[in-house]
Amino acid sequence: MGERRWGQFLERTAETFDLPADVVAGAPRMELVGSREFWMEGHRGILSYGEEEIHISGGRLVVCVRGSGLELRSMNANTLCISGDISGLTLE
Amino acid sequence: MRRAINWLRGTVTLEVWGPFLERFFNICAAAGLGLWDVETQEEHRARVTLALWDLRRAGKLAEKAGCETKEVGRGGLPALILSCRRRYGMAAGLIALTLLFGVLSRVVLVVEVEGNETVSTWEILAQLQSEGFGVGSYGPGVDVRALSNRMLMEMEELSLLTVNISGIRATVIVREADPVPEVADERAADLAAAQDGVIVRLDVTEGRTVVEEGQAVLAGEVLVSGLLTHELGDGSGTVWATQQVRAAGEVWALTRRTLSAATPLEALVLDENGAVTEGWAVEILGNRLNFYGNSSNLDERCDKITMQYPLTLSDGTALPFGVWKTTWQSWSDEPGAIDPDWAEGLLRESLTERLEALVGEGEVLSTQWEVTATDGAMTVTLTAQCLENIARTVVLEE
Repeated sequence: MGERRWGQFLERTAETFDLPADVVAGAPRMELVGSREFWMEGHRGILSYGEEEIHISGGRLVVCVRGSGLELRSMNANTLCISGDISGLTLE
Repeated sequence: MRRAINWLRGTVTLEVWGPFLERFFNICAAAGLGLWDVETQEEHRARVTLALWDLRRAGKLAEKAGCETKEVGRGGLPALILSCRRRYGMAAGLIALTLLFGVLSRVVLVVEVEGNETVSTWEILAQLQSEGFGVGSYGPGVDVRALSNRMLMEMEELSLLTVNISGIRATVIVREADPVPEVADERAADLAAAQDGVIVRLDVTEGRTVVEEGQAVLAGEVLVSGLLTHELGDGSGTVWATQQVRAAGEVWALTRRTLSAATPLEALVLDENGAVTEGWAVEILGNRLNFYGNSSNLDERCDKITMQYPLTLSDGTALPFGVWKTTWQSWSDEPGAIDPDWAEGLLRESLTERLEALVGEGEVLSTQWEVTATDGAMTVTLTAQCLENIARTVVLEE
């Protein structure tokens, strides 16, 4: 079973048993506070960085944060925070 | 909290540029370096803030990511200390201030006493002071258990004493010992006359009455005997048994009391125009620092008035800091005449108080005053007729 399919299986299992997917399947956890702050736990690194678009790896998916004046407020191995005028989030 | 920690451990701001900035961010994050306040300067150039101790590692990781770095600023406590490295006076002052604050915050400035009812707070504080504890004591240096033991040995009125020291405030909690119960005196006794008089009423509850109403008695004469006799019932008057009891009761009699008091008609008086000297002192932690010279030569012929102005908290608690003002008003050596009316009034008042204390629950029926002035002294004599209880308990000898 491929890593992607294994991940999907774990996520579905967590959903079936009402378990937190971020713990069971290692899925990233995202939080948008208003439209000025975006938090992400369990990221796998920044793929591209710019003031209008930041791409973040979440393992099996890529999160694209769009807006203007985007800035990386803080970042460590597990968590990152992006601030700025956020206009959209896309999961790819 | 996080900001405070970052400030304490020190921060450094780096300018990073290179083709793949995000790679630098990822490598740093993977290596456990926290980054924050990332500001984009232009394309492929940003400023990041990180902990001071991660500076060297960040430089190596930047090289690994193909980026270059330049330090643009430092912040936090280490940077502040470094900036003071040549300002020795300031650094010494900062250290001294920190030490002073650390010590002063542990010095007892307020002592409160709780739980006392009959023993006065001042009495407890004075004893504590004599045991070496009081305002100005260094809190951590106080051996509470030893202090408590010494206090309980010195003050038998207390059954428990403990001291809670919290910062500058010490609370002394005491429990008073149960009072020793009064033991009723049950020894056999007579009632004797305490004063000459004519008996007007007898209220005897125990003992054998040996006087009767209307009889004149002298001081010391037995009024009610504590020696009871039991006679045979044949009318012969033969005593077959005696019993000793404690005579009790009241014997009211008309008495005549004569009291006198005297006062000289000349005395040293305060010279209103005498020299007035003022002195100031400062109190720090219970120690007084005088800002005037030796005042012992002034005290002998001066009226000394001391006013204290303590520093108080908003709740009225006085702190051991304050200002003292002492005023010396000179006295004249010349004797001055005392107003006779004032002296007579003073003596009359004094004699009246003495008479009332002697009569007790009785009453003064009439008074007669006599005032004489001879050899520079005034004598006032009070003659009073009173109705009073003259019974006095006299214990019988075994």
